Amino acid sequence: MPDSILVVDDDASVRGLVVRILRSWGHAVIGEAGSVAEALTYADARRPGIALVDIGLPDGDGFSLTRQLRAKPWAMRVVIFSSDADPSNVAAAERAGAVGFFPKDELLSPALQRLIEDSADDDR
Amino acid sequence: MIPDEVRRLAEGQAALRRVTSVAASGAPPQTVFEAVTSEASAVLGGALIALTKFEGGGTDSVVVAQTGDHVAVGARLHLSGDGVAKRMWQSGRAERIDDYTGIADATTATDLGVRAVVAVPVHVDGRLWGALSVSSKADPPPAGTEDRLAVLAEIVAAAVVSAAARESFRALADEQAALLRVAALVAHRAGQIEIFEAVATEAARLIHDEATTLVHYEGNRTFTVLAHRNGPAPVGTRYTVPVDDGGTSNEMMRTLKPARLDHYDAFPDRTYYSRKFGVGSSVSVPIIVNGRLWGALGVVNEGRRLPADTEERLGKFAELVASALANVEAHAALEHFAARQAALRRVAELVARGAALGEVFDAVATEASNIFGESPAELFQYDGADCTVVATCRSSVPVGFRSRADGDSAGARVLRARRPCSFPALDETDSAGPREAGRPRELNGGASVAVPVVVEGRLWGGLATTTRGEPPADAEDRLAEFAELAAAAIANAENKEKLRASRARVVATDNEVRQRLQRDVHDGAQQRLVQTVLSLKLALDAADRGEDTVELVREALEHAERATVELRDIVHGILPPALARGGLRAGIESLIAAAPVPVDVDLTAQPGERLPNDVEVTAYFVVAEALTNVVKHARATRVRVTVAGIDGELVVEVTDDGAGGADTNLGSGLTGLTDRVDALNGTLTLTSTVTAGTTLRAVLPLPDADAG
Repeated sequence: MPDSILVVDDDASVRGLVVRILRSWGHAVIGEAGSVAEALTYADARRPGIALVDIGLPDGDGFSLTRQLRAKPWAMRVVIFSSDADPSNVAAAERAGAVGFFPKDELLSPALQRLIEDSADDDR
Repeated sequence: MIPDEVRRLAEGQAALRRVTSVAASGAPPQTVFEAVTSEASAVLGGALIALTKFEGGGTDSVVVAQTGDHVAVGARLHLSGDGVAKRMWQSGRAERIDDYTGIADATTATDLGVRAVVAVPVHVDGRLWGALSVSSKADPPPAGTEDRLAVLAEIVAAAVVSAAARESFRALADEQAALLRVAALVAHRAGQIEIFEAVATEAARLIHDEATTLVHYEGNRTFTVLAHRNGPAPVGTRYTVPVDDGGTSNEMMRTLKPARLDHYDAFPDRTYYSRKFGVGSSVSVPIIVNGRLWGALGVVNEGRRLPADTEERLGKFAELVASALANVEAHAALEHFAARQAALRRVAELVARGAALGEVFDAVATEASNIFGESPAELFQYDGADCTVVATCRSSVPVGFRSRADGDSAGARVLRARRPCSFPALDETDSAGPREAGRPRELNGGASVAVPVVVEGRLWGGLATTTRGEPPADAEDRLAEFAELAAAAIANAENKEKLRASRARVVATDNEVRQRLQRDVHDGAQQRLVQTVLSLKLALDAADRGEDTVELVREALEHAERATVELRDIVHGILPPALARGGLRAGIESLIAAAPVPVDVDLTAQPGERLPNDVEVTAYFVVAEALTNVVKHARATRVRVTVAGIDGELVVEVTDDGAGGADTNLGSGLTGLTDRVDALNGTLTLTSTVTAGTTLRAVLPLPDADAG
């Protein structure tokens, strides 16, 4: 069974768009969460291999969620995204343990697609 | 001419020449007196000659010179019985008694064993000064003796007159020299103590070093010893003269003229001086400065009669020294004034420099203590129920001590009175502070003086001190000056704190506004635009694959439209374009268009279509905040907005007919508004009565149209 992908964003319409993009890339098992708490619950239940995490969340931020997810007892690749394209987010995402950072309007980029596809060769 | 007669005449002429030359040489009167008596004796064939001086208004006759040792020099002859002296005092002329044996009460002559006496008067300045007499224990002196004595009596008179003149000159010179020495001290600004001591010393010197005391009159019949020369009472002694006292002080106070009392033993129980200091004889002369009794010079001894000219010499000196003492007093007053100003300046400089309140408080307590000769002073703050001591000087009360404001302390009293007050100091009530338990309750002669500290019309606290002695008449005024400085410092500090808080709020508000704006833009318009971009990219991908893109393009359009609306709302929140474009009227109209409550607007008295930008924006926010509050809290059915220009000010008023009872302590929204209004030097007031609605009123000064 392929690893599931978790999409975390408090804006449902953005989540919808991201899910649609992932589906267009051929991923079928996708979970959604609107907050840090929902994300952790989903993660524990489904052990996703990949998470796409927005920075601004109502009960925390994407960086801290990334750290918590990376501390789970299974390997998980986290990609952080935001509508704020501030370059400093790249370094912050790296420090939090994410494999990459993408501005939201570049979520269709092949680079993101590659990052997600590469999960199959990951060092799990 | 008979040869004997010629010889006698020649001898008489020679004797006259000798006496005249002695007198003319300026010899002392006593030498002249002795020359006169011995020459008279020689001329009259070795007769007993006496020169006597009347004293005591004709009651006594004192022997000043004599021959033949028939009577002692200095002997005082009481003119009680009949005799030539007594007769002369009455007649003023030469008198002769050829035989005393026929006179019953001739006590003096009988005592001296004299049978006959011829005496001629010595007139000085038209006044009967004394008598030159020849006495015989056997035959009466021959006829013509009177004439021969009369010539010599004139020489005595001349000698007395010239000696008196010399004495008078010397006295004047002495007085001038004494005064000069005092005046020099005054001129060199010597200390008061030094000057007073000099006055006492110089006065004593003028009257042959009799014990002399300089006293200051304190009022209420009370004197204080300032200085003395061998006087009976130490410096600083205070004494009050009883109303019925028989001494010289009492008489001097009554007449304001020199007074003398020679026989204190005549008033054994009545004189204060006599009882207290064992004084037997005294002279008091007043020192009058600027028309009032400043003090006195007193001379006292223990029974010996003071010289007759004591009053005169001391009186003259007192008159001269009065002006010098007036200078000393004026100078002291000036120094006092200067010290007071310096103290005020020290505190005022601290206040002006914006020194820390604690430093100003300490300075105020210190100077308040210094005013009244290092008395304990406390500055305390009042919080509506208690007094808390915030600064002290020379006080046993610790800083931080709290006491009830309804007690009997000076602090409590002044807070109730809300004006300066003074009252006799009781040890238990002489300050705002605590007293040791069990300490006896006693009057210490001092007074508690306290003044309120009023900061911008509000009772802040008080300043209290306790003097050791009677406080000066202007004690309250002087303390109040420091209380005012303390109040100014407190007002400064409070205003500075208000300004600081206002600035902090402005900064906080600014940060808050930025954060909200950032959040609004990020969560709203930016998201929508991102979604628009993503949807369009998905549509492009779909088009590439030849799929239907209509749905994706419609989504993109929806996102773009929502972004537009959200951006418009955000921009409107920053500053409504209507306000910027069309002024206050347009701004208010855009506000009420969205208001869920009917709003009546009266802008007819608005001074102009466009107002200064600051005023327009602030007035707009006043209306916006008021309408927000009406909608949130008032449950109003109608709101009225009025904007009018009145006397160079823009008055903005928003009134509703709602529930009222709003908290007039200006909530956080209104605090921000207050800062805005304050920044324009305007005022913001909220009036809210339960069931009678709420009115928010802002008055904003308009810049002078002419000046602009």
